Amino acid sequence: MVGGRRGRRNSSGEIIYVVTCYIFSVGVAIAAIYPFIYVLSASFSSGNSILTGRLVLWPVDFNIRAYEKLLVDKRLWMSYLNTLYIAGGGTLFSVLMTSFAAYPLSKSRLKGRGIMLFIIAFTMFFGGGMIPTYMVFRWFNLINHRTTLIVAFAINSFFVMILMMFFKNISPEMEESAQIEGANDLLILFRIVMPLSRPVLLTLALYYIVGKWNAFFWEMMLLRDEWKRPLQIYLREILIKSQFSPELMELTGGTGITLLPENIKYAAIIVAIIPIISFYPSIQKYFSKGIMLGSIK
Amino acid sequence: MKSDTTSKSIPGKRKGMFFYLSRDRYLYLMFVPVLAIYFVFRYIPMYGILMAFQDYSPFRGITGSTWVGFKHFEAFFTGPFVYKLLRNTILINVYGLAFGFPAPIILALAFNEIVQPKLKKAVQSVAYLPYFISTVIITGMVLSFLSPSTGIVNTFIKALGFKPIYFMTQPNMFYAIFTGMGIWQGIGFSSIIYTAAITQIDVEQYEAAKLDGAGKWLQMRFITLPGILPAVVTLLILRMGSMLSVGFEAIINLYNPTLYETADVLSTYVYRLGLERSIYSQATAVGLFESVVGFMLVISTNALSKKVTGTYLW
Repeated sequence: MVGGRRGRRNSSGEIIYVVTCYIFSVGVAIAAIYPFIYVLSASFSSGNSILTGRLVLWPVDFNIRAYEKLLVDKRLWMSYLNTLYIAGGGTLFSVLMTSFAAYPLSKSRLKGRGIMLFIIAFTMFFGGGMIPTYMVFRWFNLINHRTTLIVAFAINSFFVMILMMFFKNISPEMEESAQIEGANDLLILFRIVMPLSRPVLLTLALYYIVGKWNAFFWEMMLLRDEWKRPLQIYLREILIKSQFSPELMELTGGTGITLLPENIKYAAIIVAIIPIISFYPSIQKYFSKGIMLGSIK
Repeated sequence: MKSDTTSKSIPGKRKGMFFYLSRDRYLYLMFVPVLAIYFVFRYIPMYGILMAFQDYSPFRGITGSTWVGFKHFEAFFTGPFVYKLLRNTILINVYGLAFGFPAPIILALAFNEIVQPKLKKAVQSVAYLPYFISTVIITGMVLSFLSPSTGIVNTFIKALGFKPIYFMTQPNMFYAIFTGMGIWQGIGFSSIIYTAAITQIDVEQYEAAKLDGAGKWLQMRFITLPGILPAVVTLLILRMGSMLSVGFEAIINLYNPTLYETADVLSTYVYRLGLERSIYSQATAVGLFESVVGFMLVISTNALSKKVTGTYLW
């Protein structure tokens, strides 16, 4: 349309470029969503249709047997509750602790601020590592407690830095007037600074909750009792642990019987991602903003 | 405490520690739990690094265990695994850098050419989605899809008349699978930062280019790409700082002994040695080597970034 002004050779290359861009963008989107559509369809299909490859996009032999089996499993619901506690409660605690770390650090008048800042920033670059961290849990008898996970992984140092920058930019006038009226710093943080920082706190909270919802490594290392384990560990039992033995058996000439029907695995994936998918449209924009928070300065 | 008297105390003269402690007591008070968490879960583990220089015994503790100097480091560097582990760790990162790094840039440039706002938003939102899915689910899907008997990938391969491929038992395929998985999960979300950089570019430049008759391709080549170049360079340099870190949580879900040749990296080795087999001291030594090199990489790439682009982490 606008191309009329340009030479013919130019505009044909032009069209190819723009069309390629559309194809690539849409292609990436399809590649991103297709596995989930397949999983969804497979969870409503018969195990046999998956095995024989008749399933491509829509459910084959539509049925809800996989869900009937899965949803009566008490361990699923127990693990959901544990995840709610660790991720939900953990996020509240994380936001509180991150604010408690960031607010004092945002006050340049504070004596010792330099050391406090160093204590936090240094951990962004160096840490004790996996084994010494695990030993701390052992030394202090913190293994097999769900609350350990909430406390130990409460604070993300990078988030502290972001929040500190944000607190610094809040105009000091409101804080000062509250101070004159006799409010202490704790009250000022709760009544003035945190409400003013709602968007950034919400963004950090969402990053925390998605991270905690999805985490599995330390949960796997620390929680011994089955009934204390969160959703991701339950899923791991179904998706990962059930996987290798039949595969390797098949390779070595064994029977190759899958221990767990595929459609149950796929149903488990769907049950686990429903919360994320259902909140996704409304929270997605905060994440897009959040990624930019980190790059300011 | 009588805060009203302290805040009105003698003006000018030097104030003692007590004055500041008292004036800002609530700020210090709220920092106490933070400090406790950092002390217990970040700094005591650093003290625990001493295990790397001991034959640590859980019964005797760090204070009671025998000191052995660099024995575990020597054992590791002269042992049979060091070459393989370093090679895998670095190669996985090199592939990530070569394919995973440019992918979101290309995607952001492609998104930029979509003129229909609704389509653009829809495509972007869908492309970000995999980032929010947990490692367990992503790796679980990879294993399921690649399964020789039940996976959809092999279903297609069989439909085309070929023999099924045992993806997860062939070491030569692991790099590709792992890199592909990383791109699939990260391409959309990582593109956000470049998309944001594109929106920062001055619109007048495009207007001027249009008047000069430059089409979309030339605009991309001479305005958009140079416009996001500082962001690209910064992210590239920062990416170099994590050349030793690998998404090891994904690997421990994906790999099995038949894949160790290509899938075993420093952190998975530390995990197996320390947490599965309880060989604490040696595992701590390997872990320490990894964190020290990682630390140096971050420091030097940060300095480089400061010099080259003026953007830095601290």
